[in-house]
Amino acid sequence: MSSLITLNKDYNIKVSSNINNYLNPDYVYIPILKDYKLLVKNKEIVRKEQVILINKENTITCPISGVVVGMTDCVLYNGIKSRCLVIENDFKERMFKRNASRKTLNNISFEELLEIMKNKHVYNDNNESLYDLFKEKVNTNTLIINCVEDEPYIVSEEFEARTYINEILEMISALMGILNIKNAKLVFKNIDRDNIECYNNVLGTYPNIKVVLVPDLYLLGKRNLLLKHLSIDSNKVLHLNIHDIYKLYNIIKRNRSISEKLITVSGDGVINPQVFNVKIGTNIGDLVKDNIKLKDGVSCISNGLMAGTIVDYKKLIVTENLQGIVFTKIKECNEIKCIKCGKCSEICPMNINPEEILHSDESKNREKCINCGLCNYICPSYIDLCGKVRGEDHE
Amino acid sequence: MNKPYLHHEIDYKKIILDYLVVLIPLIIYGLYKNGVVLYKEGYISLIKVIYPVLYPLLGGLIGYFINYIFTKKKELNYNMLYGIIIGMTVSFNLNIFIFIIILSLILGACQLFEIKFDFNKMCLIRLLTVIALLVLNKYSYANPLELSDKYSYSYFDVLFGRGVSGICISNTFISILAYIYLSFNNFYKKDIPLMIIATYTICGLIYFAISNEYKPLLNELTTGTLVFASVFIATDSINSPYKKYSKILYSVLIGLLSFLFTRLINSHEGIYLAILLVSFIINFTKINVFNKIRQKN
Repeated sequence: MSSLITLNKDYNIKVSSNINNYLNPDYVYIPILKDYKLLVKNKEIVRKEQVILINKENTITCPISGVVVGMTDCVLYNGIKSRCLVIENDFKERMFKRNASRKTLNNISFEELLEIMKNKHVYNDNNESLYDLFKEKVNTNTLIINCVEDEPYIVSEEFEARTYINEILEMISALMGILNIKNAKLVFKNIDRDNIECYNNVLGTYPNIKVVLVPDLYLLGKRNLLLKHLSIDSNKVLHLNIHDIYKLYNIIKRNRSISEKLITVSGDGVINPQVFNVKIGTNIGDLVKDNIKLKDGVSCISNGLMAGTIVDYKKLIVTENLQGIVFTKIKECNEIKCIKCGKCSEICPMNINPEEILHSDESKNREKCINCGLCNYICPSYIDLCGKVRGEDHE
Repeated sequence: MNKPYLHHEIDYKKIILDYLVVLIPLIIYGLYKNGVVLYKEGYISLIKVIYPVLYPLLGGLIGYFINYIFTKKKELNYNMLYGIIIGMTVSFNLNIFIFIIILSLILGACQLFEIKFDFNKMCLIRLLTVIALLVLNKYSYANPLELSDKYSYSYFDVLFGRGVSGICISNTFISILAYIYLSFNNFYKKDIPLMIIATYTICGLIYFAISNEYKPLLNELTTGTLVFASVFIATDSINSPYKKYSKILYSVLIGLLSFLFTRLINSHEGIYLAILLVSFIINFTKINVFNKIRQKN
């Protein structure tokens, strides 16, 4: 496997250390995804946490209380246009059904945990069912909590780890008890000093939870590459992201789904980069208009410069998959013929040779691509290797 | 710009710029050796002093304009680099108009016909200039001072540029410094020159063991052609392999063939012919042999 690299990023771009709340948008927009059935009608009054969309495996709840006022076209984090349900906020936060929260997490049994996971269809950030994962990984040696953010200038997970430190540690401790796991390791980048300091200050009361530092290398946020870097057998550990832990805390302890999300708005095109706590369904255009000063001629890239997509931020809406947006000036670069330097195959973490794939019909290797963007990042000829490997240029 | 919207600090322009930076000292030395010294000794007129700069400059301009005609892009490009390098390797006795015609025709034809086979263009253009010199009965790399046999030089002098070689490439020491500088660039195939020279040296030592002649090896290692061609021409990114085993095969073949050709033809053309031949052979082998080697490993 190739060795991971540190990206060529500007360390002067710093995000304000405070989280700004933007929890009262006038409207929220809920994308009506394929295979989902709409459960509300136009002009219908909806309440917070009311199920408004459903399919066989999942439900989507309303993040605010208000009135359904129609439909409109919006843009999702991956640049895909989607029809969205528009809900006008009444700013009353009336709950559909007020579920009692638990006083403690320690009395939950393994069977009870599995039942919650099964009933609430909880998935982790890698889109794996936590029900299956917990069932498979019970009695494993170690719980790894990945707090590494790969994308440059996006710090939502780092802020999440710091802001909800007590909730996260409580949940980790409870999970260790329920799943009979002896040790837990919180993995941070060695440049994430705020989190390292915060966690080292409080970990005295959690002797089985340790902080592990990793260098600032791109892709350590990915499970397989992190475990490989730490020389840990993936069969012997349970790996979760910090966001998964906080999501579990909300579902198990607070008995509610997540209706808010931390979003980073940064990049060299932003005068005041910040992290916002926003309602899911918020229109980024409204958020930017009210809070962000942009430089001229910048483009908006959702979910980061490496794996992200250029989007029209005025139509972009916050969904669970959106980590942040980066505003930057896109440089015009001329693509030239491949100079056969071989760097793309050398750098690929999945051992794919993009240059070879372009000249063959090898579909097996194409499927291995994780869309990390490293081949495009390194290519001195500015060839869109990633797009070509994934066949995106043919679509 | 394609996704991702962040790029490594090195791109093709930076790679070309690095080459240009290290070629400048060689051109300056060429100006001194084949210009200033000859003028001072009264062998050439004042106008001819600039010839060592003129060939690479014209080569670069031709490459630049050919690229501009076909791509409409005003930027550093590989044709320009090829033009400069070829301009540095030609004989002092080559007619400048022949140089312009051959260079323009070959670079233009390669752009126009988009030939599927990869081959080292620089070596092909050089080969044609050599043929032109032979046809005109002017084949010699020695300048008028060298032809006069006025001075005799030690191998140490030759290492520092006193030997008979292309117009700007006689200084092996500067070529070695250039190699060291380029080696810091991750995109430079630094193991190719080392393997070529190592193979050549081994062949030379075997030859020495058999024939007790050490001069051929020392001559080649010091006169500049072998080192310059290994450092700048054999490593041409587009026409050289990038996989580990392919690079070994490529370099060893060039080393072996260049030794053979230097013995059979002459010391000035051996390495260029070897590079041209191996870069052409690679087209037939890289798909099958190299892939099999890679799969085995």
